[in-house]
Amino acid sequence: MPGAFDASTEFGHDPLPTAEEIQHSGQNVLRWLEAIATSETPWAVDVRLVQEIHFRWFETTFPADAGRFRTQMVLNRKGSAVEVEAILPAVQSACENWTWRRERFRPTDDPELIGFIVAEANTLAIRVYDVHPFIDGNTRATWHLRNYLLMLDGLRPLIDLADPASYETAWWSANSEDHAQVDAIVLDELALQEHSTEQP
Amino acid sequence: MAELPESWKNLESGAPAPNWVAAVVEAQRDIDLALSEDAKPGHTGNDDPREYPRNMPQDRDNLKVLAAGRRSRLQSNGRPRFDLTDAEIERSTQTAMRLADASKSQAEARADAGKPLSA
Repeated sequence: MPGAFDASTEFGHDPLPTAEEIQHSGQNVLRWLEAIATSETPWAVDVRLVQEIHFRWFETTFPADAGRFRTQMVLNRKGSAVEVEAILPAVQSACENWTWRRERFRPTDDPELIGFIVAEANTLAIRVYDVHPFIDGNTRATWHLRNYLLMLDGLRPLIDLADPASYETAWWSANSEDHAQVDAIVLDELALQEHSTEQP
Repeated sequence: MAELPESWKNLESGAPAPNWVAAVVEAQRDIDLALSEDAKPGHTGNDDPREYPRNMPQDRDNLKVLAAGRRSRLQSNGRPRFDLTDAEIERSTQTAMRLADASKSQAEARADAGKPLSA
């Protein structure tokens, strides 16, 4: 059974140009997120942001589903997708929790602050992924959602994965209550990136 | 509703409280925590302030490197600046695309009839 977003009618049901267009749109999403994360008035982290990220990823390839919460049950890798009726309250709750915790528990000192930013970004990305609000494209949407959360607090987005196998193992076994392994790997990857940007 | 502190349970069972000062301190702490939890939007049970710093990785060198990078990007208005290159934007998006493919291929292996595969 093909994935929901594998071949767009907008591109003659051809998977290759569909994938190329999705890639192009995803790049525009990240450029847009960079712009709003660095602006004087960044977007709030809420349901609208999550939907907007998904909309921009897929508006040209799957316009009927882009930015819209799904209306049927799906099968995702973790088997974590919630019932349709639970999507909106679950995403809303996840976003409110992220905001509330950031306002209340955000450390002021640097080393602890960095750990907090990464752990909280992972919590929200994993929670939204596990809810699986969209018919497809949840991995891609939550990847850039986390990139936005990192940038919002001054960290660079995740670019490459030096060790994709470890990342995948950690990501697929994580849940929003327990993701220490994902946190450690993301910190390692971000630190590697930071070293590489220091090079002349 | 928060559970009774251990010291209160001792009182209910008739056993003498081992230390009244400790019992009062513990009770107040639990009451404060319960009140704090009640006020939280979308409380999920994992935001106990006593847990912090939770999930703190051991590699403090990484944290220091990232903290220094973060400081260097902060502008006078308090907002960061990244100047991501086109290549970085492209590679990050490609990484997401690869993860989505991996997600879908694994879901396919355990496909249930009637449910669309979703990444």
